[in-house]
Amino acid sequence: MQNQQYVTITHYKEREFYFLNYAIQTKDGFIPKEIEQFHESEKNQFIDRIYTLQSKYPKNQIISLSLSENQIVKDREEANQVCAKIFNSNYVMQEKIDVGTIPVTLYFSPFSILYEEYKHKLNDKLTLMIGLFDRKLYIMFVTEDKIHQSWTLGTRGLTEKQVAERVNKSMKAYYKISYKFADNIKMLVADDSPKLLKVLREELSVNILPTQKTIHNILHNMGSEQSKFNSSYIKTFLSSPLKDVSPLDQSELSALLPSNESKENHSLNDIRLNNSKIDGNNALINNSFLDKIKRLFAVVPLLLVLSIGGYFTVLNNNIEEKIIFADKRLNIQENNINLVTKSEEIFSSMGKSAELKNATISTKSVKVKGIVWGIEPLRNSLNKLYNEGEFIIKPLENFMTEFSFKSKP
Amino acid sequence: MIKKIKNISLISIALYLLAVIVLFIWVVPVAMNYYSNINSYEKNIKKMKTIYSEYNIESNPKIFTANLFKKDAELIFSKVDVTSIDQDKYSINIEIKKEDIESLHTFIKTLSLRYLIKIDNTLEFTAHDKVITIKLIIVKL
Repeated sequence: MQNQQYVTITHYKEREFYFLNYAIQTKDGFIPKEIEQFHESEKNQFIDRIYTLQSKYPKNQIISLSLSENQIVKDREEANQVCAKIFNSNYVMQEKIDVGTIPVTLYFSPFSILYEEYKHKLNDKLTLMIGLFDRKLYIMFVTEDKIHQSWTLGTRGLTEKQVAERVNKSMKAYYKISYKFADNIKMLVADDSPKLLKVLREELSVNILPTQKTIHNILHNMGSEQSKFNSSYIKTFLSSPLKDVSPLDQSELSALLPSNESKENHSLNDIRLNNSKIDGNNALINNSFLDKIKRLFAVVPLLLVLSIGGYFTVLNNNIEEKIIFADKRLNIQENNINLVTKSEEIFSSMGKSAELKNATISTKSVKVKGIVWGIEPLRNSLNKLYNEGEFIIKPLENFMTEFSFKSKP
Repeated sequence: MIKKIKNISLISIALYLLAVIVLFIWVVPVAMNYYSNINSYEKNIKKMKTIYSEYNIESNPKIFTANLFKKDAELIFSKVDVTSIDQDKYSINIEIKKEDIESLHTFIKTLSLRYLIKIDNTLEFTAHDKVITIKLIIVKL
């Protein structure tokens, strides 16, 4: 019966020691066994011990944790990097996985573990998640749908006060780029450091309710259900360990593992974690910074379109001004011609029948006064031009006749 | 391909869409309007050139100044007075012999072709013996 049990074997390396543990997975939870410790010099015994456990429990998963500082969260998968999916649109990636010849079937990032631990507590408010693993702080700002920012802080060699200050600076740095403070802070602590917790609480001036779990228990929990590790384990390193350790048979494996894992070897080249040599804000590595720059390029088409639109708008305004001016000049010329035509008609009407004294001529009305000799021809020709105009005759003392004509308003 | 599209962030997709919308809602209509206006402007220029050639005048109107106008007009008429009424508005008095009325009419017809001015739509004639004085108001463009 014993060999039918599903067992999770967990291990990780901290400084010069390997820590090994296994747990029997049951429906009511896992039952961990005693933690075993091996020095670096006992690596072969350590590996042999894993093989022994595997032989004893054929249905197994060998689970470990990437404590690499060089981890980055991006919003898309990159083909040449090993990665694990978090959320629908975030991927944690790293350059390389230093498991060497040590068997592993599931390999997790602290970011994935943080997400798994707190995903049910997320909402649309910004939450700061902090994971303390092997004296490194894995920090990410998240809402229920995505990771907005993530980075890691090395804390080795720093006092608790300095670590707390760095976390605080990280929060301020994030505020500078997003103008948001986290509404909630969740902290998962795998290291036993009560003093650091106390200082962090004081420094951040907020209530943190930390979850304290050992790395082994965290990993047993991650391996307990397929739904927990379905996509969140770091892919692409499985091929060789699987051959070596002969874990679950193929059908059982397919029941536990996602079917589309890549078996390519990838190399990461990306991220550098902060370490204690880096000070203050420089310690903050903006993991998504390059992504943001790339995203800025999405603005290029819009800027291009706006520039072209602006260019044509300026050209169009100029040409419209020119058209208005040209139209104006054409209208003026037409008006001048009409005005001169009216004047010519008046002078032509008077001809030799009359002599001008004064006149006011516009395109709309005419007012003329003068001396007339041929009254009827003048009256007729003026009336022909301006129907129903007012034609008045006035005899003068010198036996001459004055006329005046006014067009109807 | 679909995977690549899926990997594009929502903000990027929104920006691309916005670019396309702006292109079709604003840029294309403005560009089309511009080219349409170019045609209208060329038609106007052609009309103006036809008018200039009709009067055999160079299509190069001068900026109006009182002195320049007076100097030019006195080559044709015996007496010319130009008085400033307002900014850009002038009263012009020209004295001509009665028999030279045709010259005056031709002069007025071409006035706005020679200078960038507008005649204020009224001509006032006053006759004394054998001369006629014509008063007109012009406005600079």
